[in-house]
Amino acid sequence: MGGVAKAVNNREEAIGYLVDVLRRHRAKRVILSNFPLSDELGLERVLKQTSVEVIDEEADDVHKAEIGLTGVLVAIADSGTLLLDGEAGDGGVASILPPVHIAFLRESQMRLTLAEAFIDVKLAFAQGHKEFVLITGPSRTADIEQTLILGVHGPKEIHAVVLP
Amino acid sequence: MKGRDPMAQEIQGAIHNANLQEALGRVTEGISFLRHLAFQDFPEYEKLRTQARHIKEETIANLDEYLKILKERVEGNGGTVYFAQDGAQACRYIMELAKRHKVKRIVKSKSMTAEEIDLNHALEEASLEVIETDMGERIVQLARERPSHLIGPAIHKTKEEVAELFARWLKLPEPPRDVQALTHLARNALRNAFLSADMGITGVNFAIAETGTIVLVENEGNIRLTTQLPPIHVALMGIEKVIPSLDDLLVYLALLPRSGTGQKLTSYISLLSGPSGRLSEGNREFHLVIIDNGRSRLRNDPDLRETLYCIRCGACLNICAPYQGVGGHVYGGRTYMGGIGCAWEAGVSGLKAAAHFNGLCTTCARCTEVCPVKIDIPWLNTIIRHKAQKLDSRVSLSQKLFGRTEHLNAWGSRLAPLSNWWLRQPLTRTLLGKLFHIDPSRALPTFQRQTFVRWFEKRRNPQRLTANGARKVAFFPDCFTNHFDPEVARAAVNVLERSGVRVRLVPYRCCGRAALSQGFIEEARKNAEHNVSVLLALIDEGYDIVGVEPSCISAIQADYHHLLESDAAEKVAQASYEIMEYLALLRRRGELRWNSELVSEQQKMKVIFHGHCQQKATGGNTAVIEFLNSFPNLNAQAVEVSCCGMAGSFGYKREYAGLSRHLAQKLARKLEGLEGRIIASGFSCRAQIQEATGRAAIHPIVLMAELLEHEAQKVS
Repeated sequence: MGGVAKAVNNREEAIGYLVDVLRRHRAKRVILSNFPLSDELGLERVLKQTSVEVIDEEADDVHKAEIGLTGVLVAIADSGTLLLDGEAGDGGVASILPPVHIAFLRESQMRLTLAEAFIDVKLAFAQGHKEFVLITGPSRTADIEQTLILGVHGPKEIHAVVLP
Repeated sequence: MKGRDPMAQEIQGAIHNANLQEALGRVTEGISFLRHLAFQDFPEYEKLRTQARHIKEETIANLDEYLKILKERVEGNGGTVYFAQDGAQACRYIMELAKRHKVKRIVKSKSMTAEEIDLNHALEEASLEVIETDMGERIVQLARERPSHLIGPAIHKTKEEVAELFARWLKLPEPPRDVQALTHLARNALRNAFLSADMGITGVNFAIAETGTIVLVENEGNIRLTTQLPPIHVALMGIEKVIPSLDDLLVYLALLPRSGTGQKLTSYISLLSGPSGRLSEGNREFHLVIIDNGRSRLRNDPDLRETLYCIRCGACLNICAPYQGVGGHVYGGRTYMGGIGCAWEAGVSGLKAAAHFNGLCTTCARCTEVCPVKIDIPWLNTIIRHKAQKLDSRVSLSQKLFGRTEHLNAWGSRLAPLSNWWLRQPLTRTLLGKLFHIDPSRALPTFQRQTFVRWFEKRRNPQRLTANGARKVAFFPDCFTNHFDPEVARAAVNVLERSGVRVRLVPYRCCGRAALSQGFIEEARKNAEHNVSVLLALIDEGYDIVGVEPSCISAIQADYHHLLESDAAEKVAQASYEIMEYLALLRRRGELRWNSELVSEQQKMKVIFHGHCQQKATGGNTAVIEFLNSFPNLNAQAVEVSCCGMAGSFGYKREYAGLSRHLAQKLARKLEGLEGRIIASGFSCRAQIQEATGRAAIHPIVLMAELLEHEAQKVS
């Protein structure tokens, strides 16, 4: 769908990939969502070590972030879709405001179809979660002369880092 | 003469606007193609759209209940719900909310419902700054125009025009000319708007009652920014947007993106229940404004109720020939466009507003193939045409003439060739133009003195050859063929009898299509009643019903159930066939014992098939093409256009003759490069093709009769 799915073998490779993307974009500021996998991977520490500033979503300079990091509830293989759960820390603007979005997930979070993914959505609703977004490829428009342009209001680049 | 009719003038303006024509072609044909690809390997399509329709039927039938649940759940999620009777109430609520929160700047994402109630205007009157953030909608806002397409509001603008608008907006002396740079420019400018806005306003695609969730479907990401950045989010929806459950949403998500843009899923689909966004709880608000604004009027009218099932994908516009020809500004009302838009306008702006552009719907029914909720848009337009006649208790002479051709035709044939001579006199044409709005430059069909019915009754040697009769056909003689083109029906009888089928006539009475096309529902119903009782008796005696004119056969197949709503009508529909569909059926059943080498190596031929719209809608065209191609050495190729533009009487009417010719030119251009005889099942299609290309077009059954005749001569 125009995004990059990167399968990695372990935490080190995942971090390596993240650092590569940060370097390539000379990123100084990121928005880091509060998702469980982030703690497991120690993303905050990694960012500190690479002297990248973590910007709070409510801060006034939130728009200065070059990259947004989130987890996912599940990802859908059939359509190349990331399904984010707001209440699990993936809401807000991390996946929409910065020009680059990196999502981290485990293989066990892969689903085949939208219908399968909706089973997870229903379970999340049952736990009181209420806010979800399905992301399928980068932001796009064809409003001027039907010419397809990527990265209109949202990210032009999406990475999904898939851990075992 | 044209100057007197404002619609004719608008049409002329649109078809001579080269930029608009280019944009319309690109968008309508481009998206139609993507849609086609998206559904190509999608066997669930029919099942899903039946389901999608059922859900809407059930929800709209129990609307109050679902709205009540929705309200409770949204409030349970920490949101506020406001029901507005009309646009003014909705606007007032939003303005007061803005005032209370000292809002200065509002970012907005595309919402047809907001257009409908003129929300921007109301907010600007209250000195609020409103910034549209959807790229197309922003362009339309800067140009101070209205959207011209449901999902592509600015399709009528060229990039040069956009560049000029952006230059004025951002005070740039030298704006960029390429689309990438223009988009980037707008992105940066709108960023600031998002970050500094105090309120975000969006529409709603679906509202799920069971969870109190609104669903927003988009590609750009501006809706997400509109909902996530400002502290207040106002979502505006019509009462019809509610659906019961998350499972129902799955059905619509499979259909909406594929139908709208040919995508499996759009880039972003947000599910929001109550306040959300980057700010912490307590610092954000969510308001759901649910408006009626004429929708209950549609709901309470059993004939127009299905308008409310619309999910606004725009597929019906992309496939619509008149829309392709003039776009949504001409073929549209205050807010909504195209055939479905006419029904919307009837609800929200009233019948008079709808009647203004109702005539542009030719009721060709191509849209019914692509509507993901199976709305019968041509039927809605027929109903509106009918109601509009009652409205000012005045029926135009033109409608009377085109709707009641039966007796006229009888005299025309009786007096031929005198009638034909008379009809060609300039004075007659002037008169017909003045009185009946018949375009004087259009060639009128020629009355045949010997009608088909007369020929059939008088012929000496019926049931020649085998006719040993396992199969019996009752042939339905339609008005056009009977009076103007009897050769086609003779060919059909000939082919059937040569194939061992016994043929008798159905006692002649118009199918009612002509009356229906002019909105004379009661008269069409009388014809339908009569014909159904006659046809049913024949069917009970073992006859299959066969005719040659797709518009008339499709009236029996697809319209009688609307008119009569009876099992009998259903049974008659099931046993009625266009001649080529019938031959295809016999062949599939192995009952057509023709030489499979009907076309010899030496005769090898190519034919170009122009399908009839209503036959396409009933699925009959594919069968015809398959049948023709089942003979070796016969190669049939379909030419792809939405409609030839004649559509029965449409192309003869003064107001629409220009548009009709314009559409015919499109077809002519496609035919230009194609070799072979042109075959077309529709009477008016053949007339249109002949006029536009100078090439003759024949009914496929005439070709079949020729081939069989050739074969017979070989044998003897």
